[in-house]
Amino acid sequence: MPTFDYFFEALTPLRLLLALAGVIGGTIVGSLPGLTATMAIAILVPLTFSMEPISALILMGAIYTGAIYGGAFAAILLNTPGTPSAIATTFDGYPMAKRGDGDLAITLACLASVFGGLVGACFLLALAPPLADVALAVGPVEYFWLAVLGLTLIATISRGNLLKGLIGGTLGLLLSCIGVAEISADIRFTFGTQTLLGGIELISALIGFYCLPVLLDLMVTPERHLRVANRSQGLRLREAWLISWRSRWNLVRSSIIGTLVGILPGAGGSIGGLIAYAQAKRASPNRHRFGTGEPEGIQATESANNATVGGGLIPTLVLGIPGTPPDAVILGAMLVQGVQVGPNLFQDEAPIVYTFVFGLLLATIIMLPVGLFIGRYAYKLIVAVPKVLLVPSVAFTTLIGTFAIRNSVADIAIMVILGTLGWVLNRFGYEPSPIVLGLILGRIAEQGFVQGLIIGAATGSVYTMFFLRPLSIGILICIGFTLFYPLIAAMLGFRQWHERPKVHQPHQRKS
Amino acid sequence: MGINLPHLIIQPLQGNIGYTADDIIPVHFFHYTPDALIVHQNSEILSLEEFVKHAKSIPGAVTLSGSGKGSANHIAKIRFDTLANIETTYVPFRGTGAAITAVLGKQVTAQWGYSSAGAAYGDQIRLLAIAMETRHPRFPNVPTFRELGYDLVSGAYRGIAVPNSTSEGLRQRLSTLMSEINQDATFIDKMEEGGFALIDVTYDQMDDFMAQKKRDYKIVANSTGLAP
Repeated sequence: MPTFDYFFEALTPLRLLLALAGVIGGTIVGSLPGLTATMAIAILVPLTFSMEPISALILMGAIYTGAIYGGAFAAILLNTPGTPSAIATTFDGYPMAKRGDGDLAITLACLASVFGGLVGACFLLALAPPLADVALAVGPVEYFWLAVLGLTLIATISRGNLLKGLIGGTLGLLLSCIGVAEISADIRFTFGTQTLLGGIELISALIGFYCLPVLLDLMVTPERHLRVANRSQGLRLREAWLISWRSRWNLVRSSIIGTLVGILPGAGGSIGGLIAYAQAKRASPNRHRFGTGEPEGIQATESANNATVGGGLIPTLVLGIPGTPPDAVILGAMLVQGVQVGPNLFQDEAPIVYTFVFGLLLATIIMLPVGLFIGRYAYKLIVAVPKVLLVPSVAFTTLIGTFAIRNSVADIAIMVILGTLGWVLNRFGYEPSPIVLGLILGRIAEQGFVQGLIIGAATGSVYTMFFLRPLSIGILICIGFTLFYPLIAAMLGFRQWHERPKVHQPHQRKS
Repeated sequence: MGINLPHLIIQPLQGNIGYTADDIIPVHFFHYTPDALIVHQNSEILSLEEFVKHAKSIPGAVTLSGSGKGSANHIAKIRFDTLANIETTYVPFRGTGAAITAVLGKQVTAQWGYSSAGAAYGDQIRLLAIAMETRHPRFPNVPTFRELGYDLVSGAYRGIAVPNSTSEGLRQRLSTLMSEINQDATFIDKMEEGGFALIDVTYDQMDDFMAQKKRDYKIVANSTGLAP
């Protein structure tokens, strides 16, 4: 069991300073569209080689946490996720900012991020070895079904028109087929060019679909970017605390979802945030207000994506399998430091591991004051900056960010083309989120399906492989439940809350 | 720039990818990660002999994970199947990490991976054999394929290359520089600790080395439809 000696180990001035610097740096990098947590850590890795392992790890952990939170700024203030993790933050964050509640939204995001980060880190501290087995139990077939389950989220995140959401999702799935196929190495839909060989890079697609339409809209509309609220501007911390206390179960549920998604290798904050958002919407009595500036939506996403930090480190430290993309970079840095990850890490290298985890906890706590401070500054800045300055500077960082991912000029072209396409589609009521969801999940689904097919065919029965593994059955039940929820609810006699304000009918829920 | 085999040779065979192996000139290969056959620590398969016996008893039903198609792992699988006269099923994964996760999670029978996994994953896995000429100093108890009668010495080779416009003198100098780094004692320690195997293919030996590798890979590629 961890002892608190390690806590004081993490409390040395140098380590606290590193945690502080990491959180500040991470928050700033994360808030810039196109610069992701993975990139921030990757840039830093060479610097950490000269440090002792614990300090290096604390610095990287702090940057990671900060960057995931920082992604919320751009999501709320610019309607474009600063990191993929903040996709679902745009749904309610931007509407809030539009009506003059941007400051409140940022404070809520900060509280939720800190809470989620703490939950994830606590799971890492207390239950890492048993939870790591979850990562191993999930095989190709389970990934396929999980991706299918993820696709059912389209129903939740298409605001307004479900059919258009499905069409968008299909478009995303098609886009995910471009390039060299993950498994078979076949070359598909490249139209003979080498540009498309590597497929459509997710981050550049994300920037294109979310950021470019916003920039175009800013240019073609004459009014101010965000309305400046008349009332006195502050952190609105009190209000945010109250809202957070009221939706405490939402925060707890979302944080646990985030931790679990983080444990699954390959799925990171983006998927964690989206799943938590969908669950929060389903469970909330205010679900009809989701997508129009409902604080619970922000809280769900932001707590979940920060919980993936701790969750993702579980398989990373216990098995040497990175849970999220930034974990892969952290793992590499640990190997260079000579830290032997694996099941014995928690015994053999207890001082390093536990000091690191406590350092991560401290960094998360530091994020509260730092995040609020930077958040307030960012809000004031974005609201005050005239559009003629805002648009070019955001456009510039998106271009740099897109280029930096693979050092590819072609990615910039792809980003611009997809962005223009997204803008046009948006005009016809097609939202970017289902498209991006299809793009993210298409690859996971295809990979799992083909691998499951190969293994199933080799070992006897494809049918058994896909439908009779216990975990698969569990996920299938979830899929069925999600798809037929309205029917099931009607059959069981639940009241339908859709489009009906709650105020007039208190205490009627039967569950 | 950094290069690696077999990608450098296999990729251009698979179609137009924007370069051919002749556009870039390898000047030095400094190490390789030897291929290794890996099973879960609790696997019933304790040795390479048992693996071959197991594979013969259920043709095609032994599943082997590996990183990607047309990769070093895939080629090792194809070559060993021929050498041992067995039939197995290759399941490509995205990267070595995902491939070993499949072994740790018992999704597949074994993995075609690299000796470096033994250093990174320790007791969680068992290396059945390593494709080196002699035993790796880090794993004195793991036999080589050659010892067991299978002539397999291969892996993923890493080196540096220059554009073909680079002058002869510069090519030679880079190669010498790399050789010197390879003599460094701490570097050697670090590499062996990590499960890598050092080699020293200098520029003057490069033509023979590349010709040999190209021959090896092409036979595999053509016989299995890896390349059209």
